[in-house]
Amino acid sequence: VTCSATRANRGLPDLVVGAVLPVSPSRTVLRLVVVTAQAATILITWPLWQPRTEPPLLPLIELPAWPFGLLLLVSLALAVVRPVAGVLAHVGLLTVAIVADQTREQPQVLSLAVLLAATMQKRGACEIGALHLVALWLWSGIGKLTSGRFLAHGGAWIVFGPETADTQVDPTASIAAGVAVGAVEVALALLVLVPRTRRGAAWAGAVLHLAILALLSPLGRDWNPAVWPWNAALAIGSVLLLGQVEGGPRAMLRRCGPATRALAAMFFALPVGFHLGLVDGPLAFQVYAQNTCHAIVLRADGRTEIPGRIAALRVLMPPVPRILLVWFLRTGGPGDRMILVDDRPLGAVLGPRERIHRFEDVKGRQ
Amino acid sequence: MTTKVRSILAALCLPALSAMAQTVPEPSPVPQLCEMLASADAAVRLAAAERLAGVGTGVNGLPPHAAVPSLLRVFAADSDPRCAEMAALALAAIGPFPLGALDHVTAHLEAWQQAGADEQVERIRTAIQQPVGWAGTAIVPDLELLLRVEGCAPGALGALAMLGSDAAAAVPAVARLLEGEQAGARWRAAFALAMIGAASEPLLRKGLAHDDAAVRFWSLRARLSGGATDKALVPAVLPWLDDDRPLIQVWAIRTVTTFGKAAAPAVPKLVAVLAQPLLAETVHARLAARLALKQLGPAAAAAVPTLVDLLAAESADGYESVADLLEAIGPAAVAAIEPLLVRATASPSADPHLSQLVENRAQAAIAALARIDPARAVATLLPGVEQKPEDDFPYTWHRVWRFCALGPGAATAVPRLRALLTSDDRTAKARALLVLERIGAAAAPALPDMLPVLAIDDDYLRFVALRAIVAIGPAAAPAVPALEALFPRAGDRRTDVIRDLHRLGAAAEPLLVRATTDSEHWTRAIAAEQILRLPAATPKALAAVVALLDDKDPLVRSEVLQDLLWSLHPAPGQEPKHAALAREQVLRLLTSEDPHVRTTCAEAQWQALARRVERDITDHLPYGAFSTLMYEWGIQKRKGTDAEVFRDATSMAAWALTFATDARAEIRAAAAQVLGQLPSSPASREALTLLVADADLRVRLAAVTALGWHGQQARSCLGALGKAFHDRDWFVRAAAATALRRVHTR
Repeated sequence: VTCSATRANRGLPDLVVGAVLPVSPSRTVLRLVVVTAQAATILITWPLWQPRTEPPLLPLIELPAWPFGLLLLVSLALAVVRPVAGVLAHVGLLTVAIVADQTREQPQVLSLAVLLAATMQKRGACEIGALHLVALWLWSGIGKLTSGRFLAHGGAWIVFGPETADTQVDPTASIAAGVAVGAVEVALALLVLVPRTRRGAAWAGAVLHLAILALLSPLGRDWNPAVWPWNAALAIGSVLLLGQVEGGPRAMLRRCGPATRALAAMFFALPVGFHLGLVDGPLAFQVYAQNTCHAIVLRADGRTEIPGRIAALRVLMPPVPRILLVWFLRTGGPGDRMILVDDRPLGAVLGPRERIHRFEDVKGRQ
Repeated sequence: MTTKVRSILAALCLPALSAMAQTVPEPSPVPQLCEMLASADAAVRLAAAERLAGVGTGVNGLPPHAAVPSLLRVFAADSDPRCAEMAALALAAIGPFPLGALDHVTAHLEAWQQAGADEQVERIRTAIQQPVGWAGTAIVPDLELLLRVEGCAPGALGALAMLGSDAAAAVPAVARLLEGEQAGARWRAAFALAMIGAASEPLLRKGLAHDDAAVRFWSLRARLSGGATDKALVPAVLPWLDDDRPLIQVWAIRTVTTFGKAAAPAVPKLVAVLAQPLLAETVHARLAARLALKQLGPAAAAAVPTLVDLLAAESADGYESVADLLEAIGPAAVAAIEPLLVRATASPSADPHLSQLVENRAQAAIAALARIDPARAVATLLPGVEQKPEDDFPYTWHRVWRFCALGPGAATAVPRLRALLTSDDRTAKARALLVLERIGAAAAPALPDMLPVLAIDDDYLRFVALRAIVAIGPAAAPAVPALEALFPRAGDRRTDVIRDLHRLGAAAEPLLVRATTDSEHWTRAIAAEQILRLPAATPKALAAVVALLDDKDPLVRSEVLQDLLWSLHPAPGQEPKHAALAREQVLRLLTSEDPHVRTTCAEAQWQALARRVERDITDHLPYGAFSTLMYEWGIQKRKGTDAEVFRDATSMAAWALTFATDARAEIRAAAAQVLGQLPSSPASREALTLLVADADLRVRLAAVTALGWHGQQARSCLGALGKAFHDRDWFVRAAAATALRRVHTR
């Protein structure tokens, strides 16, 4: 450890080195990467975390409008010098920020918070990080493979780009691209669980996320900058984190304490809850699979609006029916209607796939 | 800071800066609405179809035309008749679209085959997949036959409807269904006849008296489409004003509007619509009713009580439109406007937003009162203008601006404004002149009192006096000597003296000709512009303008040339002024050594030589393709004589051909667009045929559209267009369908 720590010492400021050493150098580097990525995400989406009137806040519970952006950055700085206190402060602040405005329920921010927790020098932390990556790839991959919308539209978006994705008549290339992405994610998750293939899977994961980053970057589609740092962190994190884990899934869980085991169980319980309609998609690893829900708003003045990308906040609207209804209530007016479409694979089994909500009715129910 | 740290910082900052600059346009709702047409919930299908009727073609992505196959599916086979009817209304709003019809037919071939129409299906399949002629007309005989096959008629009727005039030959077969026993077939047949258009005219005339209400509706709709008005049909439209389907109700209200004063019997129903609560189902009908009542003017007096109620509850956005409607109703609405005016004349609020709102309302109310009862408006507002500014400055100026809103309607105030002009108070003169300018020609009696203001050594007063004088127009000709005397004394404000002077007519010409030789460049340029705007400039004056085209100052040369070219684009209904002079000068200056002049002349040549093309829904091409090529060519850096290539259309086309093989896709696309608008030649068609197979979507789209513009001359390119009809991109397919139709039918 001492030798490795000395090697890791080179080029780092004294303050940082003094605070984090002697600990596992990979974990320290990973923490710095995650902190940088989360800070970059917050800076890119800065208006999202600030008190504002437009676009409206979508609270779960009405809370005072605090400048969460600055507070979250301070908590990240604290996580560098005092990992446990910093992580707890960051997760706590993030929870309050999301309760105050559900637009902040962004999967990349939640995922980075879990990865940050995985860098703590605590029993099972590293395993939690690895299992998080497994859950993310597995459920996201399964979500994509079982999502008709992703195979049709997401695949077309990858192949043809956002501007012409909908105008392409031949769906073969779109479906092929969609299946390829989903299959790669599922394969990665399974290969990580096998000790012999883990190292290769870690590097493959890095390549996957670098490829996604290149596709989303200005060199490719120039789309959704809020997830660029996350993909960069996942690319580095998959190598650093998975390189520290040993043994199969059973051995990994044996090394965890009861609390971390419960958390690991959540990684698999939450997606099940999502499919039963009990858990929000962003909390259940349903990331960019177009298998959650979407809406279309028919304004009284004749405009048709698709709540998706919130340009002023540089994020996408969380695809959660509850959040979309709050947004509709806060942006709508008499005569407006919103058609909410449930895209879950079991959506049509558990209830009507599409519902029309009239503004007057939603307001009346409030 | 080390290089390494700087690199890390740059790596972190660059993506962040890029993220800040990212803009993503809003997507078209059409794909999602199409998905919703397949919903299990009839209410969702109904809402999606209704909204597709209102999606404009200016969306970023697929236009509503792309929804035609989905709408036709609902039209033909929806289990809920309301959805099928709504789909028909949406299709009618979109209009005939052959590509949609052909896609719909292709999707139904298998089902029709299972229904026992093997022969027809085979012929249709061949016509669409290996077209010899225009598939839109080739499949009509088989669609006619399908009308007799059980289970195929609704789909075939939908296809015939969206083929529009291409399906004219099927009218007798469709007409037979009008007398059938099945209500579903009757209304669908009526819809198809309405969409086919002119060929169905006699049948639609009979359909107005049909027993089936839906047949009557579609017959009526077709008879009154395209701006046609037949006042005898007013009673036939009135029952549809009560329809519970918003699209039909809105159609009926808008149709009533086209009848003008003959629609007076509709007033009670329109007032009832206006009084409905603001809901999703009523919002469009209320707006349409308001516009209809406005059109009726005084005949809509019965609406005043409802409007007064609305004013109490109306949202800020609707306030001005209610005032606007009251204005149209006229004297009967004065009682309703008075309270508006009382509120409007209150002092503005400290809140800028509220202040602006109050001001907007004030302007609306004043404009309404000024038209209904100008004398009353003048009597109410003139004291505000006469009030000395010391009293409550700056609100006095608010009152002046409000009075200005009366415009020519305040002519009765001229005598009292003359009194202000002759006072010693500087601001009183300014206030009077500001108002007199808005009064315009009717302020002529005040001219003698305005002229002495020109002699006052006060730039602002002189400026407002000049504005008021030119606003009078030709009647202000006696002011010309005073203006001539002022011109040399005006120093650097000489342009103020000649600005808008053309309004004074021929009397102003000598002063303007004199100004063309002024030492200041803007004065010379503005003088030329004013001469070109004179009602009848003399040859001497035009010669002075032409001389400025060779002025030593490049700004003057460029400005005068632009003004001369602008005179080629008159307001609608007016003849182009100085067209021959402009053409002559463009050809003379085309090879000028001045790059700006040369470029402007080349663009003017393009305007003159390029074919005027129809812009349809598939026209997602960039504007200014010629300019793109011209700058790529480097016109600014070349010798003047190089611009000879723009002398005529043939040499211009040969020039554009050289860009068809450019490495950059946007240049190839621009070349295709330019070639499409220039006379067709074997070389240009060959180049366009190659570009139809380009890897870049923009190039393919431009080339296919361009071949369509070549019309029948592009018959030799049918193979390439046939392939483009099966392109993987919807826009290219739509452009190919349009092009194939043009090549075959024109």
